[in-house]
Amino acid sequence: METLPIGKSLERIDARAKVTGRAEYGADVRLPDMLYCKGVYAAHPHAKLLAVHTDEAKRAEGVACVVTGADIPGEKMFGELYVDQYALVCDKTRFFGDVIAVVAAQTQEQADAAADLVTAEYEELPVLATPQMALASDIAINADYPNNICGNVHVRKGDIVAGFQAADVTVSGTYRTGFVEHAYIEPESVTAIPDRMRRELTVLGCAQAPYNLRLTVARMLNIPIAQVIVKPSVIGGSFGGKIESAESLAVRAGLVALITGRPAQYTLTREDSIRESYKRHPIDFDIRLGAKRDGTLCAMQVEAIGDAGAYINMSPPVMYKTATLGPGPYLISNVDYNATSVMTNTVHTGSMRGFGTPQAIFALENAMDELAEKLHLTPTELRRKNLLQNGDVSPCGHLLDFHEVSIRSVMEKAAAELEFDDKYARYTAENKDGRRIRRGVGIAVSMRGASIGADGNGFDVARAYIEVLDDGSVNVDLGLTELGQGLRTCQSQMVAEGLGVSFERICLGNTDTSRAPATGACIASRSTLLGGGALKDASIKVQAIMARALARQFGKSTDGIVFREDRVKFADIDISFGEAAKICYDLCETPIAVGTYVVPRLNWNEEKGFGEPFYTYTYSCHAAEVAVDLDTGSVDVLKMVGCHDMGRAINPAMAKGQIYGGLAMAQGMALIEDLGHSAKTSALKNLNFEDYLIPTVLDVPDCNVPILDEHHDPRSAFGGRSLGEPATEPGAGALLCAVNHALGHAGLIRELPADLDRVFAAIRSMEGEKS
Amino acid sequence: MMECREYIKVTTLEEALEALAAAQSGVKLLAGGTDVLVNAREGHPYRDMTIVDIYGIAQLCQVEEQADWIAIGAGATHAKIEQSPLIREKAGVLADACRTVGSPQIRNHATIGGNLANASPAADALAALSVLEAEVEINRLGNVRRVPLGDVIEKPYRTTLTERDLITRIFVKKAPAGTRFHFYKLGRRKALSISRMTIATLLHRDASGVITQFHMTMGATFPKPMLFADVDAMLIGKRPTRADIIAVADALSAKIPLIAGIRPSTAYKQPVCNKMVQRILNELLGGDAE
Ligand SMILES: Cc1cc2nc3c(=O)[nH]c(=O)nc-3n(C[C@H](O)[C@H](O)[C@H](O)COP(=O)(O)OP(=O)(O)OC[C@H]3O[C@@H](n4cnc5c(N)ncnc54)[C@H](O)[C@@H]3O)c2cc1C
Repeated sequence: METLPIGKSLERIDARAKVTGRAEYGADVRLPDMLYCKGVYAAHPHAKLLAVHTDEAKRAEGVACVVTGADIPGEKMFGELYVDQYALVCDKTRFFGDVIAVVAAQTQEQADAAADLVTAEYEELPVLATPQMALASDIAINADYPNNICGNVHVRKGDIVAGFQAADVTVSGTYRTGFVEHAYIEPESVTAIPDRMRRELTVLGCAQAPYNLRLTVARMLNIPIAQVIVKPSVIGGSFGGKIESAESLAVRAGLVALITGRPAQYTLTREDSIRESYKRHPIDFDIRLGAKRDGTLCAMQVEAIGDAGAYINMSPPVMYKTATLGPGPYLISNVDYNATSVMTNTVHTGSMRGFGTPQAIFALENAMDELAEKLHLTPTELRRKNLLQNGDVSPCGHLLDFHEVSIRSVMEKAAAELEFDDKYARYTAENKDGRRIRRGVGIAVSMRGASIGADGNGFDVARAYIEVLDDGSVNVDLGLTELGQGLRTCQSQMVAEGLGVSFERICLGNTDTSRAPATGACIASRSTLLGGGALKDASIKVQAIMARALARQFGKSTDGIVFREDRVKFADIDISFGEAAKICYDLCETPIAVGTYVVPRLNWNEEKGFGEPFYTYTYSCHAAEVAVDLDTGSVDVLKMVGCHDMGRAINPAMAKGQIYGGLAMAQGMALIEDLGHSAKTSALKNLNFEDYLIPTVLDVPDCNVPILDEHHDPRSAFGGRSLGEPATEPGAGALLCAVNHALGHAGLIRELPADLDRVFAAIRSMEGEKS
Repeated sequence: MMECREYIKVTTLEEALEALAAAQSGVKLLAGGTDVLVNAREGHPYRDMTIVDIYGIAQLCQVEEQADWIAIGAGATHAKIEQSPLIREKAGVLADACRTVGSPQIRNHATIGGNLANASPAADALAALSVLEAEVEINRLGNVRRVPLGDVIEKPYRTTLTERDLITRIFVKKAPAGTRFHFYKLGRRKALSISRMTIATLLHRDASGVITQFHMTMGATFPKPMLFADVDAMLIGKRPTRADIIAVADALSAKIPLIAGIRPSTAYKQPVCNKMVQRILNELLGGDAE
């Protein structure tokens, strides 16, 4: 009987509740006496807020209270790393998604109606709608950042000048990406419940990072941290999007709850969600690559400017990933990658699946194809020349001698599945015959650091609590959140393997910050690596406690004790795990432990921009095949392949699910997703899914293929590292390489999304050139 | 949530007419509601109105064959039209158009009457109805009249109907056997997509290859459904050559700036229209054009 749980595609523990509608999401919560909240948005994206008039709204039917920034008793601003964001604006609006007042009423309709009655007085300031405008302006959006620059990471390796001097061929140009919305199915909703005994709040709803939320609410509402209890509801997707967005809602709803003594629910409409929640950074890349005649890369120089929007949010660490992972999985001696984020009066930008790298890989991989074209090499030939291998030093200076550097195998598997080399040659030839629907293929590679990286040195930690009960069942309290990715199932599989018990014994409940020890959040593709480390540590500690009890019970040495497949064996003893658990309780031992895992300090030199930026890496390759209609500019995605070495797939079916989703997300970013940002007013035009288009089931090919190229990582407790973000990282790059191949010019289209108009304009310019 | 003054659900045509006669000023018909309920989310457009819900009235859901026409009940859903063997055979361009609407959920629920009366320029049925020379039967409190499609829609989101006018049926001309239909929809994605442009074509040739009937027009392009006699005449009576096809493409695409004016989208739509018209005609003529 084989009971080892890792590597099995076990059914998700939440699957049935979700498909039958029993799962309770944030907005499903109903409590007696509950109030409903509605925010009032700023009328101007950059203005001094002189006065907010709430009297009329307060008198409206059903209204229980109206709160403004002045009512916040504690700190007025919050933020995970940089404290600069208002939950309720106090003195100055910075973008259209700023909230100046919140109305709470008996019903949502009453709250909505009363919100229309709130008015305000502003002194308008010039609107800095783009990074270019913000850099040129002497007006500071945030006084602490006089030139509007809020983050800069500069990676340097070797001698960039010498590198280009040694190059036989260079390419250079600009690539740009747009804002991207997370587009989680469930818009944000939180419910704040005041305690009847003391100043204590329980917060339910869609909190991706519950301990961060707890801290923010504690600081802003003046409550001890222990008296803010966060219990995330079932969360309908997040992709990095329900961190700060949920925190500001929790502060506003919490304020209402404390003032009224009633539970307060705050649910965003889709329009409000898109208006106020942060996005993926648009980044402009000036990129220059140099290579030897044979294709060997010798220099890479990139100047990247990201739009941080109105609040700093995660911009500096996003720029860290852009600069450290933007150079790709290549062996290259001379690198100069400078990434800067600039504050504007547009919607803020922050965490989103990929965190600054899908944009960078898009730019790099299309520039690589330009280089290949100039060198008369195919895309795979150029990459084969330059991909990293075991023992190589990464573009940032990291000696890769601690795990299998599998990017070559990863790329070959993806290429083989798509029949890349064959199709590349075939389509290149057939497209010359004047046909109007042309096919193309593209390939893009990446390496992604697992977890936070050196900019998180010293605080990249996870904790987990394991309790064995006297019937042999196992209670696990974990603060890493289930967002729909299947985390609870995977983490349960790791506990089961760590303790040597069957999966069925594990009960990993909903996160509750009053029970589970504080942990770094489920972000940065870190939960398998970090959660696994903490669970392993807790498992070992619990096993040690159980061993001590068993030694007492049997009077025998437990040296070399083995917990495996629900049996416990030592000396000549062979008992079931359940019996062992019972013995612990009979002897009044306590088989409970908290495990901790901290990523070891990384040797990264921030000034020089060189060293070990991450602890370990996932290797990825996406390959894409498209058909482009020259008469309309429409792009039909025919097939995508995603091959990843995520170390070990804890649950292969769910790992593949991540890849399918990641490919679809990349397709949206590459081809259609567009918030309709106005470079004049900074407003977003596309605020719901009628206007903000994401791929439908008919757009995403049925024949997409996920491939797992597993090489267990010795740096991970259970061999697995990251997949969440890698799964979408190279996709947009691969798609644009494919579109540009179909059009016969690498680097022809340089801006995302490559939608109908943009592709058609590129075709016109290309055909114009010819005639 | 939709706010209204009064909501009346009727189950027969007679009840509908009675309700329309009895209501105070401010009446809104509700069919599938896929436009009405979306509109209701912005402001409170129906707060002071009586909603008369005509969805599912059996008399309004029939598809019947007549001598020269097919009579389609205004309450017929896009799914019903798309699947009707009669429409597929004798007015196939309409079935093809209805197949491109929204998603299965929308097609199963939304009606052709609603599509027409909502008068969105992007309504997908309209270009197909144009080439089928559609006429609209309107019942105003018991008085029935029948008017050409182009006279019902005035401009984007505006019809010539009063609030008490009920569309009962839409008549489309039966095409002779051997007629070729084509419906092309250009959207930003493959489902749930608002048309950027549609092109509907109806073409009939006699045994010798001479074109006897031809209509071709665009949707999501003009303020109202339009047919162009001058363009249609360019192929009728001819065995078209490559040059004829190019001439039609030039003439049709030239209507865009002429009628809709030059807009930011013209730079895209006009050349795309030109290329697609050529492609569609080449396909329908099976490469016969020299
Ligand atoms: C998600 C989504 C996707 C969509 N996709 C498409 C698409 O791809 N293509 C497309 O063309 N449309 C699309 N639509 C729009 C809509 O579905 C269609 O216009 C549909 O045909 C409307 O029909 P209905 O029965 O729902 O009309 P309703 O919303 O009930 O009514 C629409 C209008 O017609 C009037 N009306 C209805 N019946 C009559 C009648 N018998 N006599 C007089 N007036 C009447 C109503 O008063 C109202 O003004 C989409 C809508 C949604 C919500």
